[in-house]
Amino acid sequence: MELLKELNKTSRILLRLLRISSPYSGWMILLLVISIAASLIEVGYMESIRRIVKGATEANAGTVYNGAILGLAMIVLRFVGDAWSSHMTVTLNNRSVTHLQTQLLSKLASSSYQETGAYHSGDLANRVWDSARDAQLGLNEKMISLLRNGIQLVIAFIYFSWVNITLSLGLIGYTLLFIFLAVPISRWLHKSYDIRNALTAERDSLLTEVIHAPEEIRTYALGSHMRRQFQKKWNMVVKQAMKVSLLERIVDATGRLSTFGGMLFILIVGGLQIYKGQLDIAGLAAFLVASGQLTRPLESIAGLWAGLMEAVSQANRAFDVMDMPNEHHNKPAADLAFAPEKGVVLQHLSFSYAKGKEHVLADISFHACSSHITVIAGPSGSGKTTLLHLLSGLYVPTMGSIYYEGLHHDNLSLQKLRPRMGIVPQEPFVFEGTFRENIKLGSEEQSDDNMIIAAKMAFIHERIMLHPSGYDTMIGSQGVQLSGGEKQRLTLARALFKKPSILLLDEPTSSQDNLTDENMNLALRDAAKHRTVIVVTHRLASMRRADQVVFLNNGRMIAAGTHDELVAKSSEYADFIHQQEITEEGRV
Amino acid sequence: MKNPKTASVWLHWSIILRFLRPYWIIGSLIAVLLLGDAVFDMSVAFTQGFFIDALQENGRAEIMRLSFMILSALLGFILLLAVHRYLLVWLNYAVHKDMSLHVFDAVNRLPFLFFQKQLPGDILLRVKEDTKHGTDLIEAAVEFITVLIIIGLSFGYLMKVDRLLAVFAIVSIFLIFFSSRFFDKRLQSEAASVETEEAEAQNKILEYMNGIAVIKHEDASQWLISRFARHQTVLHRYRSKLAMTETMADGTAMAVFSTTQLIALALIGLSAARDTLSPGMIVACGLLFELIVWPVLGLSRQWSKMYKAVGAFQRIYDWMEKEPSLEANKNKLESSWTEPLELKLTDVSFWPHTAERPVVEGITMEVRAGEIVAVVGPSGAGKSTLCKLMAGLYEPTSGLVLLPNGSASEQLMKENEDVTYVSQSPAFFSGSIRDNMVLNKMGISDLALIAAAESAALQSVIEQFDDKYEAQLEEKGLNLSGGQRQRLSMSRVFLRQSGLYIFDEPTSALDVQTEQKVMQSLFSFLDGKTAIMVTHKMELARLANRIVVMESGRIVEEGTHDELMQRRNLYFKLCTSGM
Repeated sequence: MELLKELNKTSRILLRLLRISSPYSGWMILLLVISIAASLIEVGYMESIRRIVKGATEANAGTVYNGAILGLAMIVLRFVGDAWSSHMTVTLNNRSVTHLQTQLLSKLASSSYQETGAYHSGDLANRVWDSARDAQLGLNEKMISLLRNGIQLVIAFIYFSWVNITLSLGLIGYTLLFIFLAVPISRWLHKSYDIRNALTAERDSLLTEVIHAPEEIRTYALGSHMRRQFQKKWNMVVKQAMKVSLLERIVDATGRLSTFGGMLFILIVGGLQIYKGQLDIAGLAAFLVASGQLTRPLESIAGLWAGLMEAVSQANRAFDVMDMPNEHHNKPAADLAFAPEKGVVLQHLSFSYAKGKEHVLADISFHACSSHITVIAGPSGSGKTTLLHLLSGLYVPTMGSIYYEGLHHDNLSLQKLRPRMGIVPQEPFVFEGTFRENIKLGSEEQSDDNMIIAAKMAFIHERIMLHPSGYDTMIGSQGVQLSGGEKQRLTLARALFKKPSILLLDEPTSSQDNLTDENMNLALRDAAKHRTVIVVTHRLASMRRADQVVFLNNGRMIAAGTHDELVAKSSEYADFIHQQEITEEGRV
Repeated sequence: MKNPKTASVWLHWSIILRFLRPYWIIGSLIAVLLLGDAVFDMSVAFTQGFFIDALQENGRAEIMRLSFMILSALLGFILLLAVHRYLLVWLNYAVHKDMSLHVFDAVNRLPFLFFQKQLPGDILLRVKEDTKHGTDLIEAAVEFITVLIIIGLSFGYLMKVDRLLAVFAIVSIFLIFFSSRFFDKRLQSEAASVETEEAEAQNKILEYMNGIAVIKHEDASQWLISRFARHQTVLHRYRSKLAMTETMADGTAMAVFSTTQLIALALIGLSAARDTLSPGMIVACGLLFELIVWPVLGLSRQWSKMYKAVGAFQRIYDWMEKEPSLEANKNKLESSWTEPLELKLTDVSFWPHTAERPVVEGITMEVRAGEIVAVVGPSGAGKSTLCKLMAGLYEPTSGLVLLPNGSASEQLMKENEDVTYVSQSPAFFSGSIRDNMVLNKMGISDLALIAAAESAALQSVIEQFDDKYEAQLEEKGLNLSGGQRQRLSMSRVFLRQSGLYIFDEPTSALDVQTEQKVMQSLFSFLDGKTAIMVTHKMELARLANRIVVMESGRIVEEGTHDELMQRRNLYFKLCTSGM
């Protein structure tokens, strides 16, 4: 029963993989046809050898020449066929693997942020790059080979039955025996592959982390420490791999047993037939020389089956990504129009990471008016960034509502909302590429003028123009290195370039000097003229000048209002500001 | 050995042999078993002919006895082969692991600047995959030797039976083997190109994963995917080329093999027609010929595979040999420091290739023991670069950065605790909060841990977790807020006793209250210690003994807060703006 379930699961995964590769089914069928033709060529070659051997044992030179000519023709055909099928295979592989990988990548972009966050990025990369490739190649190559070998077996069987039916039936008996042995082992093998792949991914995750922490590794002298960790992970991989190897050896051995047992079978049964006078020595000799054609596919099937199991295991890892829940895609209630003047309204907003868990944010309500700057303030760890994640749609509210320019968040699709929102995250992210690419992020059709305006507003234009190639200068590891403040300004330019009506900023000036901070504040003030701007900040000056301050502590909203109002009505806020003033007062 | 490429194969082998040395017992065991493997292949061919002849000469009972003998021999051989294979896989993993660890070490010791210039995906690939190609070489070699033994044994036997056939077999061997050599060079260079492009592709995927939030917001997935797909077409072109070359090499060898096989069989047939070869001998000769020539096909493939592997292995070979050069600069140490200095910079400039102008230029400064120096200046002035120079992460383009025991970059390689450096964007590792605080410092007591957490104003954060110090940190510490991450990185400082502390904007993400707390404990911790602190917060800068003001990579002002305020220059402007 369990065996059937397992087979069922395996075939379901394979079917799913086939469904995904359906655009390439034509290719696959064509390849299968080519490979069947190739096996016919093999049969032709085999026949030529049989004729030569038969001719030799019967001392008939005519049959020998006849066989040799047939053989040569087959060799030429095979060379051409191989080249053609190899070309087809590599093209199919390239296209179908990229197809699967791009599907996974776009799926990741539309998956829930919390869900992708649960995976290590090294693990995800491993799934997209390695697992997808192994799975697809498994399907393309192993599956087709398996089918081809199956067909080859049938063709060979028909051919051999024509030569000697008893011997052929006997060999088939071995095949069945082998399949009965191989299936339960492959189930173990499947499980062991899963474990090994998971361990390998874990090892690679550590590697990814270390590669991303070169400063810590060097300055804290973590080299040998991390090496030990890496070694530990490696040891676990090796241990599991050796378990897998043991199972693989058993599969190999069964394969060999079946092949050579088959050979022995031919010899014994054929020998007995000779004694009975049903077969002559020449016939047995020819059968033996050519019997590789029957046993070789069998041997291949053994290896291919194990390979296919590995592909299934990898496919499963890729499908985990495919099955991630999507971000909320609400159906927009029929053509509701945004009313930018209404700003952003939060009503009794609460959020927890999982059902039943403590609320990280509870009962937050305020109105961020258009043409105003709303500052979110509060001690570190009070939930400010989480609030911005909720506003930007990365997280979904557990309770309560957000009205974006008059529309309830349930009635809005993220596709409609996101173009209206510009976001500057706390930790700026820069892609490998040019300044231009980093600001436009694919909106190439937009004019350069818009880009330059955005860059000027974000005070990064002059920095960019320091380079002779200006906006086409490469940045990132292969190009110019930017300072923390410069990256922040670049992401601000990216956000402004979209001309959003809502602007969310998470400590946009934490790495700026006072002069730039001052300028950027003026720019924000300017940007807020016809926008809703929400800023998370620690800077006292920004709080003082904001149109509204929302003060958070421990995930609760303590108070909202102008700075002066808050100082008057909330003692907690007054304390918060007071301490800040003490430290900053001393200046000048 | 005929051309430089072949020579490089032997060069790589010297490395592989170095990694094989610890496993010489397993290695020699494999060599013995390898002989078994060869004998097995031989006897399979042999028994068949033997059996057929026996059919003619012996009775039924004799045949059954013979069958039983062959069957038990078969079982024994299968077991032997399984052991052989198992050991080989074990050896492969062992060497792969060792190589990977070695490259891992080398990567962690690469000069920081050089490291920064590499694509993360590329480094990943080198540690992970390229080392694998090294072990592929071992497998190829074992196969190679097995095949050579089989050929040798079969040839010896065939010589006894039919000289003409044996000579013909030898000619065929050379034909098959050298018909494929024609493709080797192309295989090698094409494999290397594929490897390089794969690294680039993998890097694009890593970048995608790391920027996923931005990609969602900006709806940039289509753009990035099309960028990825565009790159894939380049990779595909190389892959197709490689695959075609492989097929051509294989196909040629295969065609030559089949042709010679046909000719050989025809030769056997004709000689059988002439004189008296027994049917058993015909089968045996046919199989023996196959046994001599067929493996050459494998040999030829292994050789090609070896070339391919060498192409890829070359990429890590460079890094394997890159050992940090400690011997330089030793004598440059200034002999007579007149006062107790912790750090001395002499006319230091830093000008990476990619920059149009120096990032840091002509910096000369001294930091006395027990002094706290603040570095301020506009964003992009080169402050972080200066920090990295002082920490030894960067090697100055010209000038000297000296610590009491030698140059800063030398000290860095020594894995000691002379300098503690807190970077602007700290990195974290998967594991518990405790792991991330102590890092490699073993034997830190709970008391010390709590004290450090309290100093960094982190204790209240940790209290919120059910598992306290054992709470697991997510990747990059994403289950902490930005400010909490910064405090976690600061807590590391309180566990370390160093001669010099370097801080690059340690509190940029903290609210003023928390900053206040952290700074109070930091300054009392630093009492009597030496520190350099880059900051944008002028209220922090004024707490330092001395302030250095930077602009466009140069030091423009230097002095105490009061002195600088009186001068009414850049420092004054930075202080008075934003009020």
